[in-house]
Amino acid sequence: MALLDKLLNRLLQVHLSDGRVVIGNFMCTDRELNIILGQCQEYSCAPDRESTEQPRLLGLAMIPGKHVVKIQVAVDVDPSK
Amino acid sequence: MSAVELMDPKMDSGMIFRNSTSPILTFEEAVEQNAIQVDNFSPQQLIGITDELFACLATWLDGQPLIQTVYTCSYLHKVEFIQDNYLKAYCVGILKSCELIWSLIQSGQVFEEEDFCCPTHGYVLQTSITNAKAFALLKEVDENCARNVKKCSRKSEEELDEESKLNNLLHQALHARIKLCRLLYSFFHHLLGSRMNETFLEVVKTSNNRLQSMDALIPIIKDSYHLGIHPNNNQDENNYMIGFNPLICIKHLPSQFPKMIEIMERSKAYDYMHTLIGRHLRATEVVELSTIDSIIQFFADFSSISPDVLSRSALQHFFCETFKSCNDKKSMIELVKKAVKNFTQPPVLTYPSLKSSQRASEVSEAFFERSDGPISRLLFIYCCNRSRQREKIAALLEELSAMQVEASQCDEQLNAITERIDSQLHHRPYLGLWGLYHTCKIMEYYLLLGFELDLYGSYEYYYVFWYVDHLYNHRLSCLYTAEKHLQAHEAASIDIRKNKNKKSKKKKKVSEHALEIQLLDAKQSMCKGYLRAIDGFVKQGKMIQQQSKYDTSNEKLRYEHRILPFLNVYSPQFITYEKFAEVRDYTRTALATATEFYSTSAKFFNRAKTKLEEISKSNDDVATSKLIKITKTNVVVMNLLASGHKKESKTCPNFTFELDNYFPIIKIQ
Repeated sequence: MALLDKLLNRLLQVHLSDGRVVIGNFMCTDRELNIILGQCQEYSCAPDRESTEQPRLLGLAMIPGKHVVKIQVAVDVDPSK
Repeated sequence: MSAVELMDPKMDSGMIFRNSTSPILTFEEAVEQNAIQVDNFSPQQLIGITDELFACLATWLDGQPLIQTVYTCSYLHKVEFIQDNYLKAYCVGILKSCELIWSLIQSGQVFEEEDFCCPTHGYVLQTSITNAKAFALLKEVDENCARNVKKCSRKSEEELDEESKLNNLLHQALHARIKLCRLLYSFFHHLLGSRMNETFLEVVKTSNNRLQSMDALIPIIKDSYHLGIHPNNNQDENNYMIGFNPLICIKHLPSQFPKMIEIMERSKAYDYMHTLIGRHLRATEVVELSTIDSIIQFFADFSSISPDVLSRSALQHFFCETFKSCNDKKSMIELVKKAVKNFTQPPVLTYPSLKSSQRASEVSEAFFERSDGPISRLLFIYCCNRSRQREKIAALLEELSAMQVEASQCDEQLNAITERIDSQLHHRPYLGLWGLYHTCKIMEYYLLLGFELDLYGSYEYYYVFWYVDHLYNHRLSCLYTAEKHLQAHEAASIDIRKNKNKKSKKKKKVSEHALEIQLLDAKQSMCKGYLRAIDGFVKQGKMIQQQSKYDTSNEKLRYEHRILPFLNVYSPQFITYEKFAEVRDYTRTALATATEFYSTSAKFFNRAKTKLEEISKSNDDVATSKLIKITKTNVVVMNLLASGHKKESKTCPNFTFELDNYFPIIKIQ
C-alpha cells in the first residue's frame, strides 16, 4: 500500500497486452488493477533512445487491469553519476 | 472528467494500427523505401488518382473531417517529393485550394459543427511551393496536356487503331482534370486575394467566367471517370487506392472512437461539385442588386434551397465585399435610407426645408446608423444553416426591438422639429413604420420556419396560424399607412409641379405596395381558412387537445413556448395566452356547428384563390401557382366535409406540406 502511495503522480510506463506502450502520470487505480494515467502518450512499441516515433497524445486514459503486462517507473538519472 | 478506455475497440483508435499487418509508413519513409510510386505514372493511374483526390475534396466539403478525407492522400504530405509533373501540379493545386477554401469558410463564420469540421486539430499540411510557382507549374502542365491532345487529334484523320483512340481519350480526360484544378485554384485565389487595380465587380465577372468554364468541364470528366484505375475489390489488406491510406493521419486525430469515413463515389463527387458551382453562380448575382428589400429577398430565396456551407460563405463574402468594402458603413446606410424613402417617403428625406435643418438630419442619421446592425445581422442569419436560424432570429428580435424604440424616439423628435419649421407638415411615425414592417416579416418567418423544420405537433398548428394571421394584420396596416403616405407625397409633389409647369401629366401611378398587399391578403385568408378548419375538427372531435397528466396548464405552456422570442418585442406587442384563448373561445361559440366552420373555411380558401388568380394574371410565378393549387384542393376538401362526408370518423385529416413548405394541403384519410 505504501509502495502504491509512493508511485502516485509518478511517470509510469505501462506495457499493454497487444504490444503498445503508454507513458503517463499515475493518477489512480482500483482493486482490479485498472490504471488511470494523466497526460498519456501512446507508442506502438517500447521507445528507446534511438527510436524516432511520434507518440499519440491521449490525455486522460484508462487501462483495464487485464491488459496490463508490465509497469515501469521513470527514474531520474543524475548526469553526474 | 472522462477518460479514454484503452483496448476497447469502440474507444481506442490505436487498436486499428495493430490490426494492419504492414506498418503504416509516412510518405517520406515510403519514398525512401521505394514503397510508393512517385514517377512514370500511366494516364490511367493519373486519372484514377486525381478522381479519387477530387472525391476526397467533395467529401470534405460535405462536412467530414479534413484529416480523414483529403489528407488520406499520401502525395499531399510532401508534394516536393513527387517526380511526375502532372501529379505534382494537381496535388499542389488541390492543396492550395484547400487552404483558400478553409480561409473563405472561416471568414464567413456561417458554419456550425454539423456543417463543417473544424479541421486538423493543429495539423496542417504546408508546402514550400509558393503561389507563383504553383500557378506556373499548373500552367505548364495544362499546356503540355493541350499539346498532347492536339497531337493525338491530328492523327485522327488517318485510320486509327483501338489503342490510339484510347490514348486520345486518356489525354483529353487528363487535360480536362488538370484544367479543372487550375480553374478551381485560380477562382479561389482571385476571389480572396488582394485586388490591385480592379473593382470587386470585375473580380466577380472573371470569377463567373471561371465558374462557367468549370461547369462545362464536369460532364467531360464524368464521362471519362471509368478510364482511371480503381482500387482492387479484394478483401485483403492493401485494397486502398494507390497513394491513399485512410490511416496515415490517424495519429493526429483526437483520441475519440474511430469513425470510418466513406469517401464519396467519384461520379457523385462530380455531381456534388456541379451543384456547388451552380450555387456559386447564383450567389454572384447578389452584387448586381441595388435595394435592401431585393437583397433581403435574394438571401431568403438562396437560403430556401438549403445550400451547403461553402456556397453560404461565398454569398456572405460577395455581399460583404460589395456593400461593406471601402466606405464600410456608408453603403449600407445609403441602402437603408433609400429603402425607407421608397417605403413611406418621410419628409425628413424629401422636403428640402427639413433636409437642411441640422437637427433633423442629425436625428435621422443617428437612426439610420443604428439600423445597419440589425439588417446586416438578418442577412447573416439567412446565410446560416436552416436549422440554426430560429435561435439566431430570437436574438435578432431583441436588436430589432431596440431599433424600434430608437425609431419611435426619433419620430417624436422629428415631429417636434417639423411642427416648428412648417406647421402644415406632420411627421408621423415614418421610421417606426419601416421597422415594424420588417419586424413582422421576420416574426412570420420564424413561425413558418417551424413547419419546414417539422417542429410542431398538429394540435399546435392553431397557435401558429393564429399568430401569423395576427402578424399579417399588423403588416397590412403598415402597408396601407405607407400607401397613404406615398400617395400624399405624390399629390404634394404634383402640386409643386403644377405650380411650376401647367402642363402636368396626370399619371395614375401603380402603387408600390399594391402587389404585396394583395399577396398578404390572400395568405391571410388562407390562414383564416386553416383556423376555421381546425375549429371544425375540434368540434367534431377529430382533433383532440393534448392533455398531459403532468401539467394541467399544458396549453398555456405550449403556446408561450412557441412564441417565446416575441415576449420582448416592442411592437407588435405580445399577445398573452389569456387573450388568445379569449378570442379563440369567442369564435368557437359564435358559430354553432362544424358544418358552419367548414363552409366558412371553404369561403376563406375560395377568397384566397380568387386573389391569387388575380395576382398571377399580372405576375405569374411558380410560388403563386403552387398556392393556387393548394387553395383549390382545400376548397374541395372543406366543401366535402361541410356536406357531411365522414362525419362520424374520428381520425384527424392530414396536413401535408408537399407543395409548399408553409401552407399545407388538408387531406382526408
